Order: sequence, then C-alpha cells, then structure tokens
Amino acid sequence: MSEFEVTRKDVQDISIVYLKGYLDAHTAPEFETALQQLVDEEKVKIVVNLAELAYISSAGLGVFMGFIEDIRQKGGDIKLAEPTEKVFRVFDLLGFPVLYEIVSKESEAVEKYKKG
Amino acid sequence: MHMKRGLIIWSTGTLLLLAALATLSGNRVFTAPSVAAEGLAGAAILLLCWGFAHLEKRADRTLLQTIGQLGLHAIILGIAVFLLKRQYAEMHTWGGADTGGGPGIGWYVIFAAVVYLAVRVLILIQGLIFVDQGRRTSGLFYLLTAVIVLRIIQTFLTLGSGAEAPGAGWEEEFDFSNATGVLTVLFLIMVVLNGFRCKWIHYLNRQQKIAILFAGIAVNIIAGTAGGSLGGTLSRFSITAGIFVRDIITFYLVYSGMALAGVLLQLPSAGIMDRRMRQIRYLQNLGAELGSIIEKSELLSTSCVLAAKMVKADVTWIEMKTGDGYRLAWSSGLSSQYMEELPADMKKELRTLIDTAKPSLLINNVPRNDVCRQMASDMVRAGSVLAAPLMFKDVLRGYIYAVSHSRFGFSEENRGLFRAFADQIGVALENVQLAQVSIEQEVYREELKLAHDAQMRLLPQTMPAVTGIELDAFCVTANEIGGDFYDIIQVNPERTDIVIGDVSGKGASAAFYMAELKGLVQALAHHHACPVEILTEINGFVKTHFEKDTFVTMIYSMLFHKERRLVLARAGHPPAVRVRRNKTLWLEPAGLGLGLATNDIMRRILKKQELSLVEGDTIVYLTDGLIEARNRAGEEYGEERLRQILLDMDNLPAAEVSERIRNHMQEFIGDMPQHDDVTLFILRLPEDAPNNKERD
Repeated sequence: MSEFEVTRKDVQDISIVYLKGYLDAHTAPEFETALQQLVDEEKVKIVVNLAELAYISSAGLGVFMGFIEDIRQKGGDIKLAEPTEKVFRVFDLLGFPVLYEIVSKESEAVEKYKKG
Repeated sequence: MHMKRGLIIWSTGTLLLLAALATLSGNRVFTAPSVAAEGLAGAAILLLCWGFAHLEKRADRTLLQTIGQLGLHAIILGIAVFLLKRQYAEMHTWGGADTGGGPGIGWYVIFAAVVYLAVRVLILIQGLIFVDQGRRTSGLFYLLTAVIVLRIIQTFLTLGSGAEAPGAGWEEEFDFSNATGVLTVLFLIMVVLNGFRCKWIHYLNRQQKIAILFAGIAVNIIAGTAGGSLGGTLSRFSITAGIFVRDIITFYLVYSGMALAGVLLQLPSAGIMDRRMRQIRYLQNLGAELGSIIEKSELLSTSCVLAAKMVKADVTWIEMKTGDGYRLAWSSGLSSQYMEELPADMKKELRTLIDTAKPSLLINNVPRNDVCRQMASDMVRAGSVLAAPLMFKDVLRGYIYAVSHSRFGFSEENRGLFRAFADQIGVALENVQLAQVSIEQEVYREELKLAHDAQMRLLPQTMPAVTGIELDAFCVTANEIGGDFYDIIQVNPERTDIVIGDVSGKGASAAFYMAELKGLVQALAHHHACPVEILTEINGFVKTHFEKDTFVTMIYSMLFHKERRLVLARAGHPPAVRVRRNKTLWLEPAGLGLGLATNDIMRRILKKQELSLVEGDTIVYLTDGLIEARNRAGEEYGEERLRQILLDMDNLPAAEVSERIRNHMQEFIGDMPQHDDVTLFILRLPEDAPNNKERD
C-alpha cells in the first residue's frame, strides 16, 4: 500500500518532481529528502507533478509547508501540476489553492517560471 | 481400609498360629504329628504373611530404617533359633524320642516368635527388593513366595498321606522321588534370582556403604552361627512352620550375602559416585539460582563467583561477544585491568583452542604452554587455566575462564563440570535477554496506554446535557495516540460551541498539540462571538508555536439555541453535513488549514456560514479518517457512501446515527487495519422534544 516513488527531471533551472503512489506519514520522508536536495543544490524553481499521485495524507501535505517559506525566500516557488480530481479535492479542502499555484498542465507551470 | 483389613488378617493369623502351637505342644508324641494342627500352622503363616504385607504398605520407612530393622530381626531370629536348638539337643540327651517327652509350652511361645520374625524378615526383604523395581521384580518375588507356599503345602500333603514325616536334613530335601526335590531346586533358583535385586545399594553413600558392610557381616555371623545347622530342630515343633522358617533363613542368608557382596564391589567407586551425585545436585542448584536472575550484570557476577567456588579457582572472568570483537564483561578475584592488558593475539589463539576443545579447555601447566605462557608471568599468575564457551543453541555468546595459581590446579573431572556450568550460564543469558526485552516492551506498551488514556481524557468524557439538542460522538484512534479531537463548550445558556479538529501527522507530537489546542479553544470560546475570529487566533498560535510542517484543520461552530441558528467556519477541515428530510447539505465555506498562512491571509480567506435549523435536522461533523478509511480492495469509504447512509437514517436519534455509521464503516473496512483516527460528532434537534416546543 505504501508504494511510493519520487523522480526528478531538470529543465534548465527548473526542476520537475514526479510523485507516484501513496504519500503518507511513512513515505513523506522520501519526498522531504528529494526537496531538501533541491534546496541544497539551490534549485528552487520547483514543479511537482501529481499526475500519478494516488493519495496524499496530512503528513504529505505537511512536507510542502515545511519547505515553501524557505524556497520562496530564496526566490523560488513550488507549483503543483496535474493533480487528479481526488488529490485536488484534498488540496482544495485544506485551502492550498490560496497559497500554491495549482495548474492542470506541467508545461503551464514551467511556462510561468520562464515568464518570470 | 487397607490398614483395618491388614490388622484383621494379621490378628487372625496370630490367633491361628497360637492355637496350632497350643495343640502341637499338647501332642507330646514325637513320632506322630497332628495333621490338623500342622494344617492350622500352615494357614496361620499364610495369613500372617498376607496381613504383614498389607500393613507394610502403610509403613513409611526410609531405606536405612528398613535395612536396620532387617538386621535387628535377623539377630533376634538367630538367637531365638539358637535357644530352640539347645532345648532340642537337651531333649535328646534327656530322653530322646522314645520317652515321648516334648518341649514345654514356653518353648512353643519362642517358636511362635520365630515364625513371627521369619514373616517379618520376608516382608522387610520384599521392601528392599522393590526399591527401584524393574519390570520383572515383583513377578520374581511373588514366584519365590509361591514356591515357599507350595513347599509348605507339599510337606503338609506328605503328612496327610501318612508317609514318614519329612526330616531334618538336606538329603531329604533333595529327594527326587517325589515333588520335594523339584521344589527345593526351584526354591534355590528363585532365592538366587531375587538375590540380584538389590538396586537400593546405589542409594547409599560411601559412608553408609562401609557401615552397612561391617554391620551386615557382624549380623550375619551372629545370626548364621546362632541359627545355622538347624538339623531337625524346627520340625520338632511344627513341620510346616519349620519348613517355612528354614526357607526364610536360607533366603535371608543368600540375599544378605549377595547384597553385602554388591556393597563390597561398589565400595571402591563409591567415592567417585558420591562426588558425581554431589556435582549433579550442585549443578541443579546452580541452574535454579542462575535461572532466577533477570539482570545481566547480576548474572555475570554470580556466575563468576559460583564458577570460582565450583572448581576452586583463584580468578574467574567472563568475556562477551560484541559485534565483531570481545569485551571483558566481568571478573572475580582480580582487577579486570590485568585481563584486558593480556595481548589480543594470545586471547584470540586461546579462543580458537576453546572452540575446538571438548568438553572444555584445560591447560594444566601454563608456564610451559606456548599459547598462554604470558599469563603465568604477569599479574594473573596463572598456573592452570580452565575455559569454556558460553553457548545457546549453537550461538556463541562469550567465554568463561577460570585460573588457578597452582599448576595442575584443576582435575580432568572439572572439565566436564565446567562446561556443564558454562552451558547453564548460556541458557541463563538467553533468559535474561528475553526477560529484558519483554520488560522493555511492557514498559513501552504501558506508556503508550497511559498516553492514550490521557488523550482520551482530553475528549469530553460525557456529552453535556444541553436542553433541546441531542449530542453524540465517537473517536477511534488508529495508533495508541492520535491527533483527532472534538469539544463542546456551553458558553452560556443561549450558546453552545461545537469544535472538531485534526492535527496533521500522527503519534505523540500530534497528541501534545491536541492537548494545547484543547486549552486554547476553551479559553477563546468565552472571548469571541465569531468563529472566524477564534480560528484566526488559533492560526496565530499554531503558526508560531507548532512545527513548520504541522497544521491543524478545524470546524468551529456555534449553536444559538434561541434562534436555532448555527454559525460555523471551516479551517481546511472536511466539511460537516446537514441532513434534513432526505436531503444532505455539505457545509463547505471557504477556508484554510490553521498554520498554513499568516493571520491576515487567514482572516481574508475564512468565510463563516450561517444556517437556521429546524426540528429533525442533524449535523454530522467528521474527520478525514472516516472519508479515507479503506477496505481490502483499496477503495475509500468516501463522502458518497456516507451521504447514502445518512439519507437512510432520517429521523433517528443522534446516538443511533452515530452507532450505525460506526458499524457501517467497520463493515466496509472489514479486517483491514485502520490507518488513521476516525472521529464523528452528531448534533441533532429532535423533532418531538418537549423542551423545544416550550421555546417556541
């Protein structure tokens, strides 16, 4: 059940992180490590692709919160792309759309970074 | 019962014997024995044997007491027979058979005693034979008694047929013209076979064996010289009884002779046997002592001390395996510093030697030993070394060493003993470890339970009785402690606040935060009349005091009784639902999780929702644990499933609604473990509440 995968693709100075499976209290540290590495590499323009994310728990949501301030201070951002309806519902209930840009296409998020 | 029956049989036998002998004593004609009296005497003996055997079952004697009694009986029997013999001899001198003179009645009393003693001797020997009896032991013994009985009967029958009375000597016994000879041979075979049954010798220690050997020889010399060469003495009194007594004396002499020979043969090894027995007992005691220790250092120290005592060592120490190396765990008799200073190479070589040595390693001359010569010269001053591995089920845990300052300080025998002791330490070490693990788990479980109990106490223990509304709630935590909570605050008679919330993350930290929130909510409820204000205040607190990645979702609702108005705000929490006449309404005003943003943003985003309630309305508050509960197929319980069941439950009391949802969810997840807390809170305005009516 805790099948979870994080992969990453860099397009110029933009990093795209792909989440797959279940992001819960058990798998959250994996995602945390991935984000920490990006911050360490000073790669703070981040797009998280949620297309294959089946489930996100409050611990998973907490990971975004743990990094967002730091990343924004460094001039970067975390943009969320392609969430499924179910995952979007979770983000929406919590009020994430107020705080994060959530777009339906990964390219859209990348474009936004490029436009600056 | 046995006792009573035994006594009856025994006294009947005694009476019969006395009657028979009285008759016999009256019959002074030497050559014409009374058949009836002889029959009576025979029967009396059988009854006596039977009676004594019965009584013997109740006798509770130790082995030594039995042996002592046997010796005593043998001496008295010998002396009594000796007296009878002298009387018999005098009788011959005085007048012989022709005169028709017989012994006086007094002598018959002594003869009765002889018969009596003979029976006792037989029974006492039986007691010895039956010690540690084998498969055929009792059979052999009863065969012997049967042969003796047959001999008595046969003698009696010879009498009855009017043939010449069987005589005195062995030559007649071996008369094969009738059954007598065959029975005699059988009797002797049985006597010898029973003579081998003396396992009781093994239970005597060396000193007891020596004492019994000398006492036994003395007794047998006295009994033998006094009672031996009977000739026809006993037959003169009673022919049947005489045969019996003579057989018993023969049996006694053969049995005691063989037993004493056995004792004599075992005497040289008696010392070793004794030591073995002592060692076994000692090891048993050690096992029990070590087994009762549940603390590791105590086990090691006790082991060192006991090992030193057992093999009389000057220094002992235990080395325990740690990861890839070895660590000196305990020493006794010398500072551990010296053992630690021993060269590592030497210690390693020593270990290899121990691993291959069986049963344990013994180096008797350390100064001449290539491997551990150094141990002789330094502070350890080893003369000899004894060492064994500490194992449990083929797993090596360490080694135990014993050192004597003198060369050849340990015997060959110590090797086995030392290994046996080391094995016991191995088992005890395993026990200690198991005990430790279970204690730790117990403590951890206990702590979790305390935390869980403490957390559960933070939730309202009972629903407050609020006029005009029904309340019900349940909270099932997935782990021992979770982050869900709810509360009801009666701010004033006109206003009741209902709060439900969920702290992100799980476990202890979530529970701590929850406890803080409870206090905060209780305090804020009395200061604000708007849920948005209260949630914003809480947001500020969460943002500043909680971990960066921790947030809280919450619904804060206020029920104004008079207007039947519910005002609520939702901070990122799954929406509550209003059920009214087969219709559901999700209460989802815009909101944001607490701790996600600043108070300014929060105040801007949070919207309050107001709704008026009517009789029969039910509001269901929940946490995401209910919606996200999954079954084995991986499906979520979901909002739709909840909606359906709520529609089915229109017009049910709050407690019933709560109960049914809980069962429905349990049924849905089946045997899947619950992975998140599930909390449900029901608020209902009963349709037929009289109080409600009054209000209108």
